[in-house]
Amino acid sequence: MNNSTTSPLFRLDYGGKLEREIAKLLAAFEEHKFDTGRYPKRWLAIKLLEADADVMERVQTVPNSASVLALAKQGAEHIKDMLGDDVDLVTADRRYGYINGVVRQSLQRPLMDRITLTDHIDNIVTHKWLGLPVFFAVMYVVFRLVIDVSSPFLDWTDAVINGPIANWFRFILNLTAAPAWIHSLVIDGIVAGVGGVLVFVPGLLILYFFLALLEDSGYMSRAAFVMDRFMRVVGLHGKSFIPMILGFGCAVPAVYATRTIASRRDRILTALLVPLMSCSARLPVYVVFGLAFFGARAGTVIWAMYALGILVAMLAGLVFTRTILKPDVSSAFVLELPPYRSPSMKSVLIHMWENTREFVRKAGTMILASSVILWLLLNLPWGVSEQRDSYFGKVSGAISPLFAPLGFGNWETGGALVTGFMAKEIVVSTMSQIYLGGEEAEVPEATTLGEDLIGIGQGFLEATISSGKILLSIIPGVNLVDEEVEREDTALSIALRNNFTPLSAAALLVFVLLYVPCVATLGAIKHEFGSSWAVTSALYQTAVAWIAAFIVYQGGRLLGLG
Amino acid sequence: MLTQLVELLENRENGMSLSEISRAMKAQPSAVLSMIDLLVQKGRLIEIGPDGKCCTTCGLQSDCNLLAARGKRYACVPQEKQSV
Repeated sequence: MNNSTTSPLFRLDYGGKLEREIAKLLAAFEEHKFDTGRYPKRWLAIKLLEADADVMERVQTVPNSASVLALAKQGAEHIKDMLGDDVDLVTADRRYGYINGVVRQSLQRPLMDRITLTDHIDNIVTHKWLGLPVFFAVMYVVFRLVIDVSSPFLDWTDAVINGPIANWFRFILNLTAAPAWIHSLVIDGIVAGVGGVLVFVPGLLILYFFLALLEDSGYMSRAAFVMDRFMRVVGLHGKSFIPMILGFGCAVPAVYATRTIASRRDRILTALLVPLMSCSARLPVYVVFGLAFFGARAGTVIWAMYALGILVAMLAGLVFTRTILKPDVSSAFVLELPPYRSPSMKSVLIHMWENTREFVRKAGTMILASSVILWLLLNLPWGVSEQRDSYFGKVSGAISPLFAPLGFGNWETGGALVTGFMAKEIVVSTMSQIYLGGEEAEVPEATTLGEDLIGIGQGFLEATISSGKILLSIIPGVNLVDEEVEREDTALSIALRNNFTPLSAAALLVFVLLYVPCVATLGAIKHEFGSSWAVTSALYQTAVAWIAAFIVYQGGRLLGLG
Repeated sequence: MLTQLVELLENRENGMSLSEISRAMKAQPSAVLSMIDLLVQKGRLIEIGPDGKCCTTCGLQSDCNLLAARGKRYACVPQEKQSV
């Protein structure tokens, strides 16, 4: 065999101790006339010291190998004694160290810049004291944008549903000579109820758009990290924040998401707190009341509702951990903070669509069914002239005194809150049906289908331009919004202003935020933890909601606000 | 580099993920992964789940949704448990 003796152009220095053992072996090769075959001598010496199984097996067949192998074994043990590691780890360490040095000296990687930028941002957004204010500031900006940017689209959707779409239904009903009660069921029941909820689809699309941006950019992980620290202070498990973030969308998957938490006590506690996070079904209620009573400050009011939900969850957690759910041994919460990245528009759009689709599906099923049932209850006994005298009106009237200390003791609100037990957005659809369903509709001007479609298209274009101007006006120094143009009031806003004051509206928003979770959420809690915890959830939340709304209303009156 | 990696993980009770290690060592994840694999193979490191529990003894490792979603973490094997 050709013995390779040529000197290599490059030789890695493995350090004094290892180099000495290599030299001993090389000397032994010469001394015992050991045939290294086609393998370079230095390489073979290193492999023998590393106890490479394949090389050892091959070497054993070579004459005079026993003494060389014994020397290699002795050398490897000596290295391990001195360095505390196997030779293969020592050599690998040296090689990686050398490679790292070469790479550092010869390459400039953009990854480093990105990491540095990520680190710089994280120094602020995950800061011990700044992290929480930054989180609330980000959420505030998001809700301001949701309200401001979606407002023209909400008006457009409202105009389309109560204009052309309602007219098309009327046209079909007239064409089929449908009786008056069918007219009432379709227009006062279905269009008012389902339409009253569908109006908020643009708002939800925009909300999910911004939440998807935050999630995709990597900020949501930071929010979880910041809140984890805060939650530990009040005795909650850090992992609880992940289901709570999900709770901003819908409480049902959030309750099931508690399964990732190891301890049953922590799972129960989190499930009890998740419904306090403001789910998307409550947004229509906030938007209707926010725009009707708080105008330009609607975004702030909605943000305050979300912040209040988190705050009450923290306080409730604190109470539970000191009473019926005392903490057990807590496991560690490990959260990876991925580097920041530009959100993918495709992923953001998919996220928007998937979440909004669920809302639309619910409008087409549960809210449609509840609108029909509510219409029936509002019209029974058959031929009742006043809604207040209907079965629904009587039952609602019976429970409404409970809400009188909270500032909304009328039967309409009592009834809407009861129907909200099915799903929170039904509060709005019920109010639409009650306040608008019985109204005599204005006789619409006769229009053709083509004119309607052109009107819808024009309205959409105008809404898009208005939203675009609002969005661009965020840039400091840019103001494209015409201050003199005031937002047009919807019929529901006007009706609500006749029945509420700003203070009682604020108390109602607090009550809707905190009161009994919807039936689907209670079902999920019962499924996961049993009936007793579902009942506990319903009772404690309703009690907390009543007390909080009482404090808001009566406290506001004491301060002369109402 | 291997020593630096082991030292980095020595005081981390819940280990670190690949990207955390690569950020801490200012090296590409692909480069760090081969070092980690070697150390795992040598019994110096172990793979653990995102909750800090050891994956190697869990029968669910291949089906673990949590591991798939959140990624593996690596932790040092205590000296007394290292293979001789």
